Amino acid sequence: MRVALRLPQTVDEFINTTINGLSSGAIYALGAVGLSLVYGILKLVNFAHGDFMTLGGYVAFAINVSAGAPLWVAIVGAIAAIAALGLVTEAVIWRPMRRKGAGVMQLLLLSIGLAFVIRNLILFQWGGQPRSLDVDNLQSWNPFGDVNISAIQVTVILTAGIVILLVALMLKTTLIGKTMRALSDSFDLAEVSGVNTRRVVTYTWILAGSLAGLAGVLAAVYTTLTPNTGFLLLLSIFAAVVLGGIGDAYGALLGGFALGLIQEWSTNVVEPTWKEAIGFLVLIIVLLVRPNGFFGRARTV
Amino acid sequence: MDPLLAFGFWAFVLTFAGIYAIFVLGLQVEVGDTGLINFGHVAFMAIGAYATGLMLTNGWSVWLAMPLAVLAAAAGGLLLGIPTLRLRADYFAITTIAAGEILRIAIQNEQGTTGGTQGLRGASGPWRDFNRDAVDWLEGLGWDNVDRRTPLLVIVWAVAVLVGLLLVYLGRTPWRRNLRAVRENEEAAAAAGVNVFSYKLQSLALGSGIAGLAGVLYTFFSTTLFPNQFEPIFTFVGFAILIIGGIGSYFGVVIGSVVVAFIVSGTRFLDFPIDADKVAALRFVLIGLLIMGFMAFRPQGVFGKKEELHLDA
Repeated sequence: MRVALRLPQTVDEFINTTINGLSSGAIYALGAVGLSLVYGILKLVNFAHGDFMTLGGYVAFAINVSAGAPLWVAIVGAIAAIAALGLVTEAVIWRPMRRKGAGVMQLLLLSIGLAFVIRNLILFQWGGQPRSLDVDNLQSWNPFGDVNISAIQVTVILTAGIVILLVALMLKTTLIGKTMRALSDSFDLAEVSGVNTRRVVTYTWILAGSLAGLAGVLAAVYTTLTPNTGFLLLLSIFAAVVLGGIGDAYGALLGGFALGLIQEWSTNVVEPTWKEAIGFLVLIIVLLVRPNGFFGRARTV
Repeated sequence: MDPLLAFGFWAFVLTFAGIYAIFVLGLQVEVGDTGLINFGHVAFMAIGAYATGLMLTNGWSVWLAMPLAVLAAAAGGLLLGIPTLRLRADYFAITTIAAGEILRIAIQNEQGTTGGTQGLRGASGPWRDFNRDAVDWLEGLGWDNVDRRTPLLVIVWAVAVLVGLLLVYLGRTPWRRNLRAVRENEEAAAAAGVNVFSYKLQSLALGSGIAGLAGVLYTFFSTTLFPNQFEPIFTFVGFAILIIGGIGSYFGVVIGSVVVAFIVSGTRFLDFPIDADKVAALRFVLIGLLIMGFMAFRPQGVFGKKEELHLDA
């Protein structure tokens, strides 16, 4: 395969790609931690997770552009809406299906159907044309040399960074966070230890939905919003989850940033049109070489 | 003209259904017979299509290009299967979709060879010549005003029936019994002396070759190939067909293909009081609801057998 090499690289170019990588990595990380927890705790490979994100972006669009409210109101609205969506799907679909004893692939295929429904209802409601949120996409700073940071990147990295720190703290220190990780490790073991699994499942959906909603808004801020935005991000988010070790919430956070950086750094070497393919290649190599992820522990199945 | 009566319109819908039927028969070998959830199936159709397109562009004979394109797709299945078949079912599913996307991005980026987003047009010339001869031949037999879409419609469904018959024949051989043994219980099959890995690999190669064949025919159907025709959504619609028709049933694939093709393109003649874009969206909402409904209430589909269904990975 002929891949044009883009050498030599400069330090400034490296710093710029690092900033880009942290921005997209922050969005991956927000998507990945929810996807990973839902998989770990509910054994659901949720192919609708990307479309949850997209819907978050459109809820923000409705609040921020159609209704003209400030961006932070839109963020709060999107988070609330997608957390609610997670809870509704749990009550209407996932809990009844688990009670029926549905298998992993059955739930996975069902989530593909749900993804079709959400994505096309978005298309029905808002049309296919690219949408943008009301953010200042022109302002940027030039601290030194050719290094360039846009206001959008600052918004994305700061918002996601603060939320990710809070989530990591919650998972580490609070009882519910520890229980989530315990359940993700072994559902049955946690259940026989007296954990109220139903309550934890509820909190898991609230967390996963909120983060997906936020990730969708930030994706809409960082790029443009179409009905396919979330689905196109989903495979990269899977790669982040795999990179971090499937079902490992911390790993997913790290995996998101690692993947963002790998994709953007690769543009120092190959044409930027290959960067997604590089991410997918990393996904395959990690699955083949280290199925527990780079940040995951070895575990028996 | 009233589209309900327009032969060309229905020929288009049914040709599309027939190509999907072949594509999903390949998927059925992998999913239904072997239990391999391959989300990258469309990649092998892309290999078949682009191999045909590139060979015809370079002046190769159609009769040489077609089998070589199918072999290329089957070889692609082997190449993907060797490293990935040892993975767990859900990891395998994600790996195959990633591999398919890498191929699509490569096709998109290698503009010099594949035409990239500009499309690959080269196959349309030889096909148009062949098609004109076929129409002339049919009219020579005494038919009047043969529609130019007729030959492909006949060829596609003839191939679909032949592939179906081949699979039914294989179903009577020890080969498919072993395949199903692998699906039912890998450990037991291995203990009984079945080489599980080898059978999975053969299944993936056969399924991929069949997808390649669908790709060959798609080259003639579409005349110009674009990378975005081979996005993951194509495979997912294939899974919708599989789920509706029934996992494990070849006849179900045919019925599912016609039903889905009817929903996706056959409803175009209906006059809805809303925008065409909105109608298009609602069609896929319906497909999504069908997937969900079948998975929840009848996971074996219309024609599948419940005891043959293995979705617990």
